[in-house]
Amino acid sequence: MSACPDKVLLLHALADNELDAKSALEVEAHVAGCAGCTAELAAIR
Amino acid sequence: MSGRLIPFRKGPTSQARGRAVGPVSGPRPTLGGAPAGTATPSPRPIEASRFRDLIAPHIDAAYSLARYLARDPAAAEDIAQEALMKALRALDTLRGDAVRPWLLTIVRNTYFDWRRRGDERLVTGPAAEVAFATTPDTAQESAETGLIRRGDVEALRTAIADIPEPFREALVLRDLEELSYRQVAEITGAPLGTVMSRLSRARRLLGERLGVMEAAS
Repeated sequence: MSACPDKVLLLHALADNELDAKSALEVEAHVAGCAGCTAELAAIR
Repeated sequence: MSGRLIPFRKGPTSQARGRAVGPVSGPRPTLGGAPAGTATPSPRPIEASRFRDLIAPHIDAAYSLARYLARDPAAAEDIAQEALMKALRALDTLRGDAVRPWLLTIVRNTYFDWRRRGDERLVTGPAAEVAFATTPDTAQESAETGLIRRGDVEALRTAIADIPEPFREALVLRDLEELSYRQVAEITGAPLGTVMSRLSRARRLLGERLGVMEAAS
């Protein structure tokens, strides 16, 4: 299982608190419904 | 993984290997630390105090970055000292309060100067660059945490040293020096998007080396 390729950089940016509020919410919403991105985000953190 | 990497700290025994390294030498060349005049090339008192206030707090960061870039303790020592001398001379050009990015930019430039000079007395062979495919196959859980817990900091440093340069640089600046993406972009002269992809790649490479992430598919 792997993260969505187009979301990987955003996941890192989210983990680094580099996203503005709007982008952060969008990425979090995606992560909530995507097992691959959830696992990737956990690995980054 | 931000903030969990281990910086190099300048130990009390690290010396400049008997070479003339300029006016600053000795186990702890904090230029502003000693009574002015003993070690520095007689900067004006105002500069000495500015140096102490502004730059001295970041000497460890400078040394650490030099160490991760050069991957050679003696070379890192030289690079860091040369960078600090440059910083002292360029103190007038420092504007604002972003001292650390400014100093680390000087360290980075000094490193590239050093590399361009092709300092051959140092054995920084391509060993780390070629040892690419070695991925530990152990440990499903957080091997990084385990390594740190066991005090095996050296393994983590080796893993970082193993990462190719542009990625290693992004990783060190962001996760070790805890600079923002924007600051990393400014220091390296790379666009923000490039910084992001380098950082992502660097973390994956590090994770693979430490066995905490599955190899890139």
